[in-house]
Amino acid sequence: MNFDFTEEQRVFRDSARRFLHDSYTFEKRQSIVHDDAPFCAETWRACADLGWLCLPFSEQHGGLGGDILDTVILFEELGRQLVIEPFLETLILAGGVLRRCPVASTEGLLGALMEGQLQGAFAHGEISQRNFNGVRYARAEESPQGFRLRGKKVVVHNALAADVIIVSASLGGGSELGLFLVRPGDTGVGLHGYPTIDGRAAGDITLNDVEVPTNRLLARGPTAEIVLEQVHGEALLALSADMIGSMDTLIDRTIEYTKERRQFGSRLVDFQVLRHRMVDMFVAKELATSLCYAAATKARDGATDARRFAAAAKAKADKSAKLVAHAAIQLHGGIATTDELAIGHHLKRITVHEQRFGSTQDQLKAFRHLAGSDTALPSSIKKVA
Amino acid sequence: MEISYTSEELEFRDQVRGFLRENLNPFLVNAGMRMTSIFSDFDASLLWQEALRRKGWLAVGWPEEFGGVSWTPTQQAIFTEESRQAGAPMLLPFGVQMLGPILLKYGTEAQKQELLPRILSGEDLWCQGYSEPGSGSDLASLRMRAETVGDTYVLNGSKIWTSFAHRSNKIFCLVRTDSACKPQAGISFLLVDLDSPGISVRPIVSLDDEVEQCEVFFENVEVPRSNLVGRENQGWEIAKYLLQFERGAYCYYAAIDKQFARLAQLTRTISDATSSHAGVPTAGDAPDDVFNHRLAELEVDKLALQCLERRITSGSAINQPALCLASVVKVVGTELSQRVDELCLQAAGPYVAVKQNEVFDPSYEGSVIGPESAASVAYSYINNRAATIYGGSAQIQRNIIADYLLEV
Repeated sequence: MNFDFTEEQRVFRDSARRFLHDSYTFEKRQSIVHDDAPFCAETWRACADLGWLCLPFSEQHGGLGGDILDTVILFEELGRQLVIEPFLETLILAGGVLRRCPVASTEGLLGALMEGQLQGAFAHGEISQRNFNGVRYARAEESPQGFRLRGKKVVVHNALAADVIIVSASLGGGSELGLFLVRPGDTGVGLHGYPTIDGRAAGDITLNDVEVPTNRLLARGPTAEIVLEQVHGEALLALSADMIGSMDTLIDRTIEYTKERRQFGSRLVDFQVLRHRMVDMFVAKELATSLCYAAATKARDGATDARRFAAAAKAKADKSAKLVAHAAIQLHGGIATTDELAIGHHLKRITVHEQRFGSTQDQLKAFRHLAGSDTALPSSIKKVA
Repeated sequence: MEISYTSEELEFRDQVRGFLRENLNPFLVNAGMRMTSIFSDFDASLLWQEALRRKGWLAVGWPEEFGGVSWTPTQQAIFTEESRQAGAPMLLPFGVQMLGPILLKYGTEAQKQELLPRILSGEDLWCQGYSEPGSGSDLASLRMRAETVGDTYVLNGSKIWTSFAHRSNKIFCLVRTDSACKPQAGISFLLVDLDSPGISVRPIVSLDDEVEQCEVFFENVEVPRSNLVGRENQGWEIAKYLLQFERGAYCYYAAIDKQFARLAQLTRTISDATSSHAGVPTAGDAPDDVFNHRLAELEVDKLALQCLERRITSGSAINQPALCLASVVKVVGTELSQRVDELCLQAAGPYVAVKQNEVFDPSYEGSVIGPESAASVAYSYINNRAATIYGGSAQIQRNIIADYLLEV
């Protein structure tokens, strides 16, 4: 048993950290946020040049053949520097679906994605599905040309920049799931974009009888469920890792600050009540990190309880990240409630992440139902399938 | 990164399981399962110690010439987890786990030859004399004096929270041999026979009406100078050295897992009772949903603790020294186990009120009022409040972690 990263993984982490530390300063990040473009195309290109966009794809697809642990490393670094570029949407979600669904309509897309020429989005959430797994009203009816899509997807991150949008829909309005490839230019696709509080952009997508050819159906039925489940699991780990990165920065900054700031004639770091609070921040981060690494290893190995571990990892990362961010703001005082410091921006990012792919409570619910636990007390509330 | 056990580790686990199957009898398992504190029934602990000695698995980390066995931290963790799951009694740590390593490092050859075999055989039962009525968290302020008179030390003062002093024949003490210096620099480590003239032991009754703790009084107690371990005034260093032996033996997860097993038993009993009354209207299901949510939260925390312990025992760097990580795990483990206790209270419901101390005796075979798994819940909860006090309080642990985290 060991929790060590390989030498290769350590080298990758160090180089990613150095690159983002030098080129993606907080000032640079804020200028990107305030710019009209949804993210920095130049940064995206630089990341493509570094090979980051090839990371999770197999060598046969032209990628680097990395595994979920490499993804975890990357997202820790992205979280650390508050990177707003759409790695989750393009690499993990759209890329994750595309690489699992090799149909004719996806040919060439992965290559373009890895070169930095293609953006993706994952249109899954609906107004009725607060918890990611609720009722799905978007429908796909068979039509002479293939399928006709109808419905509305909400808070689709990176929707406006996306060249390909993966849409989930019920086939024929029944319980069978279908995953479709939709282009923003397809007739009947409506986009309403808006900024998100974490400096990024999302949008609502309306599908007004969008006609797509049969080969745009990427997967259906049990296959589609498995793809969705796997991509969902990876997203949970990527988000957890991103929050671990945030925690790292928040703890480092807080320690630095309490060593500089003086009140009542002493450095803040000399007050026991503040020291203990920082200890709790450190402990919370290490617990979340340990669970995230274990969950990533389970996912890599295809363990039967991998999905359960992913839910646990996200729940723990959510809670730890909140604890750390709240304490960081409290110990910094008023200055951390302003736009000028990175501290508060980490809380905004964490606030968004906590609700993505199921809230903390949804993860706990999933964890419980995946557990087959015999410890739970009986309840009449129906289990979410 | 590999979080599953290697085939060698799995083989070792099978060996441990086989040994536990063959050597645990109902009396021992009762002692392991009917605990309401961190200790099992004293006699059962000694029987279990003897069984492990015969197997050669008692003195983990001791050299072979003294009957020791060398296990990796992961093997130690496997042994602990399997032992807890099988319901083995707890071992008394004072001789084998605490004094043994100290004698091996600081003892004279004569001390090692004489005392180490007697620890393993159970001939000597040691207790630990550290805390004093005026020195708890601030241990270095301890005042029990040891004055040199010829070839002897003369001891005056008292020790408190001395677990099982009333069942032991020897005590290792931290004593004050110099008051003119920095407090830590004037402490010595001394071995004392509890039957020496001038020693009296007062049992302390805990909130569960049982006695595990004692106060020990020393009045002009004469101890040969040859009972000094290490050099005079080296006691603080020796006490700190011992802390390192916590490393590799993290077992909070195993104990918490056992709490969950007990909780599972309890909720099963309730579920069975509920279903046998099917059709009877109940007060509604909302409380159960709250319970189940809380349970899931604690299970996630248990999983995180397990992963953290494994990450530490497997030696993966968290960029902090071992002593700091031992404190991290102590804080997390004890605070989580207290939260699990609180959920157990919710499951046991009205039965927490029932006082039936006799059922905790491992040889008790009579009936139990209410679900058997509910019987120990209240006292486990109450006694476990001590978990964040003993062995360095949660606040002292946070001080230790802070020193590493904030100054290095």
